[in-house]
Formats: sequence, structure tokens, C-alpha cells
Amino acid sequence: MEHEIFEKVKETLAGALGVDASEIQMESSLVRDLGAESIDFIDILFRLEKAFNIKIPSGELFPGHILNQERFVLAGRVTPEGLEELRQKLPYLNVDAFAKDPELSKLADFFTVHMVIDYLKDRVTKEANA
Amino acid sequence: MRWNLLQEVLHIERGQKASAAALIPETDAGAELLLMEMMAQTAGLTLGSLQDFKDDLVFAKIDHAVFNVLPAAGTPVLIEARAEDVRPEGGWFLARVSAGRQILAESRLLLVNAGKLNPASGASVTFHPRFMDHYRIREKITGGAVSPVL
Repeated sequence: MEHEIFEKVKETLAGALGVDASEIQMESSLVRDLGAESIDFIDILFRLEKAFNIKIPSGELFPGHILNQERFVLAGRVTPEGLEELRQKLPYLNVDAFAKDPELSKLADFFTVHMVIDYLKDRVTKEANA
Repeated sequence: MRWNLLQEVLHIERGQKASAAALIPETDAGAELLLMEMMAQTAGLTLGSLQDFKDDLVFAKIDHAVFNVLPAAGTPVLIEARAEDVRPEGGWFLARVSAGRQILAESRLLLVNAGKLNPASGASVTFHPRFMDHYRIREKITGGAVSPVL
């Protein structure tokens, strides 16, 4: 199943980001490696919803406004409380890796293809069992 | 966005579609650019209506655009935009500009909710109160509920 999802995700990201599908690896960061910008995330959501015939609620895959409270961010860095919030709200994000240098501006670097696939695997399994 | 390309906002069905009337202005800008901007502005009204015009919008992507006829200055046109796939954070729109029965241009475009471009003011820059009043936007809206961005 993972391979099938990966192939569909590659096609989706290639369309949204204008990159060659062959450049997209499991560990690719959407921002750092594939050049995604903030405006691309909404496009990616629409395309994933269409490709997998699912609805992706706001903030479930990409964080959106999760960290919009002062206690979660201090001087541009995500606080321990903010990291906990990320762990709770975005279980697919590698928060441990981000926590080594939790600068908010670098958070999007950790949105990887792997993260998207893990999310979709769960969603597709849940839909199949529903 | 600046809204001076539109002459009149005709109707907005909240989050679903919008229409506006305009005259092609006398300008050095290419007609394609003007038509594209008109379509984006009309789509922007549709997306803006979904969040009650509280946030700012960015014209993010053009999937495709077709220009059948380039109109002369002074041509009256009708601009229509319909949400193909929309959520409070943004949406894909199908838009077209027509003059009478002739379709001048069509496009598929993405607009994204950019939050507040000027957080200190708390107001939307895109949907400035003077714009809202001048075009009597709230009088033109029918249907649906506001969907706040989460």
C-alpha cells in the first residue's frame, strides 16, 4: 500500500510544485528540497483530497494556526509546551528532530514526503475499516 | 488586490460564486493581464465572502488561462467566478470574462487566505472598509454561512 500511496503523492506534489516526480524522495522536505512555499500547502491539500478521495480537516496534516498562542512560541522559538502541542496535534510530524533547534521559521522544513505518506496511510486504512 | 478594474459587483453567493461588471480600461497593460486580474478579483469576492471579508487574500496560482478574443478599450464585460474546490484557507476557482454572448477569456486559478497582512490594524487590507462601502458588497451577498479559518 505504501508504494501505491507514494506514487500518487509523487504525482500530486509534482503537479502542485512543478518538480519532476523523479526528484521526490521519501525523505524530501517539501520546503527545503522541493521548493514549496506557504501558498502551495493549500494546493497540495486540495490535490491530495482529490487523489485519495478524502477530506483533510484544517490543521490535521499541516499545522496552520496551531502555534498561535504566545505560550507556544517565545522569541521565535517553539517552547516545550508548543512542542507538546505539535506532538498532540500532528502525530505524523517528526517533532523530535525539530526539537533539536526549534526555531519556528524552520518548522516547515520538517514537512516531509514521509510525513504526508504516514498521514495518508492512516487515513486510507481508517476509511477502509469504516 | 486593488479593485478599480471592477465597475460594479453584481452578486455574491457566499463561498460559491460571484459576478461583476466592468469596462475594459484604456491602458498600456496587455488585455490578457487585465482580464486575468478581473477574474482574480471576482474569485476573490467569492473566497472573501466565505470568511466575511475579515482576512487578506493572495492570488496564488494560475492552472490555465485561455484568451479567445482580446477586447478593445471601452468594451463592457461580465466577469463570473465559481468555486470549484473551496475551504476557508483558499480555493480553486473557474472564472470567465464575456462580452455579450462571446467568451473572451477563461481560467482556473487558486486564491489563498493570507491571514492579516497588517495584524496591527486588525482589519483586512484586501477588503478595506471603503471598498466594502463603495461596492455595497454586503447588499450583494446571498446564501450560506461564514466559515472562519481555524
